[in-house]
Amino acid sequence: MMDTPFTRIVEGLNHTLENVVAPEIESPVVRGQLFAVVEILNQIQGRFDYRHDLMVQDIQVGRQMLTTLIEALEKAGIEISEEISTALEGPDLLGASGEQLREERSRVEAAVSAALDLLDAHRPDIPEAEKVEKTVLGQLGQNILRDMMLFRRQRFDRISQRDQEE
Amino acid sequence: MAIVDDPRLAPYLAKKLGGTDLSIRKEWQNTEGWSMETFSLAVEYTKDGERVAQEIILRREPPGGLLEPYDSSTEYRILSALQGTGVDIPKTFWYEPDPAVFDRPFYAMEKVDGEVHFLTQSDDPNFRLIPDDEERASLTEDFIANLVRIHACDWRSLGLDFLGDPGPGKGAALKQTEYWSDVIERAGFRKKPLVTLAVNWLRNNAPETDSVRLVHGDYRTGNFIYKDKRIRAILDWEMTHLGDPHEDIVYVTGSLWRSPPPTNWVCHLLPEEEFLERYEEQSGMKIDREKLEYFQVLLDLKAVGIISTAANAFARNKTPDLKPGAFATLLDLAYAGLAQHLNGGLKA
Repeated sequence: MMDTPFTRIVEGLNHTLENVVAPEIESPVVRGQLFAVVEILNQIQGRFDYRHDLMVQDIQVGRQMLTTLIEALEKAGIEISEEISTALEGPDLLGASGEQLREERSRVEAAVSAALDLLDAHRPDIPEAEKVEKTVLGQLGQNILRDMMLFRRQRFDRISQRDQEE
Repeated sequence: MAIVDDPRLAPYLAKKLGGTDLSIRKEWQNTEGWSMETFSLAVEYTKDGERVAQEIILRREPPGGLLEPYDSSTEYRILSALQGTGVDIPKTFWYEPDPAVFDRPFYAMEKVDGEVHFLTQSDDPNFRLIPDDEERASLTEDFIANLVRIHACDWRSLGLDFLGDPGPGKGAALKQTEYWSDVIERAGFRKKPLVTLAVNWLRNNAPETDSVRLVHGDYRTGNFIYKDKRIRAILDWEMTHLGDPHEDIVYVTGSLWRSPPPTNWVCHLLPEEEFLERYEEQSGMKIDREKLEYFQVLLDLKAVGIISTAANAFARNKTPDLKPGAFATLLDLAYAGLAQHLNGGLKA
């Protein structure tokens, strides 16, 4: 959910509101309300972003997974690439912008993926490879559970349902 | 611009339908589908001295969306090949590759009269989408019969080998794994650790497929037209391919299409065990329960693939349609499903 930049979401919403929805509205009052929404969204898009704490959690859990994987790989005598090892450290997260946090999260995720692929490539040399993968999945599970707690019941039927009178 | 106002389409349709003086009396864009654009047209034209009224459907590739890159010719070719096989499908008319006609390629088919179920909260006290027992029983009968016919069809003699035979053994499972891995890669989500875990597990645990079959790929309630308590047409053949029929079985029994407790029916139709037994009885195919666990993980990966493609289409501003953006909000739900089923597959 938090992969698309917030500014892009607002751009998409406003583009559709202005170009798809507004031309179909006949009431000037309703059109006015619609453009008020567009205006508010336009003004907040540079001032808001995803929750800092959630992004930081994602990065921290990513580094936990990375630590687990590096330990297992090193134990088996497998050489770790720089892409993997350097992702254990990163910039100060407290002062990072939303965009910087997204970039850092992508970097850590890519490193975890690379470490998982390395583990998979050396599976015959690592007797407990699947156990390590299960541990990593368990670590990832914390954030998956968190995201499920944030998920609201979707009402897609309201998007798809055709007007009965049509 | 509405189709009726588009000066290109009426003369084009008249020519295609072998008539003259064609007018589009009514048009509406269907909102049920979330992928290909579907337009219903009521047209009237003169043919052999008589005025003919007809309703047709145009299925057009969208500029971007859930299942891009789009190629509407594939769906057209599948539907055309399946005419006369006993599978309930609309009659196809023609395929139009020229974007100059209607902005993007499309195909035309008959409009099948009937309704489509919306998978929404039911007013029924037990949340049954189809509360009428008799109707549900006849729809169930047709639902299973059509699935069996799809899986039983001789795809080679029907010319459907263009879909790509994955070959014997592990080919079917591996081909689908690579396909969805590539889809997720194109959407920019391949380096998610959960995706990597899943792809590696699917590669390492691919089951053997006894017999390659035609797999619908999106077979569920909500993807068929019904009328007078019978299924009239199976829709949405965009993800159809050659593979292992267990894929469709898992899709049918998926949690997204189940009625809520207390029934928990698959596809809002019948209990899971009854569905599996009736399918086995009618198809003569033994369902391998262990394989279902594998294909459940593959199905979860497929869900991630579809949703991440939608997220990418929205993020890249490929379409002014906000539906892919709304669909993208389901990504966390897809991750949760994938993690849950993968956890069952990974041995501690």
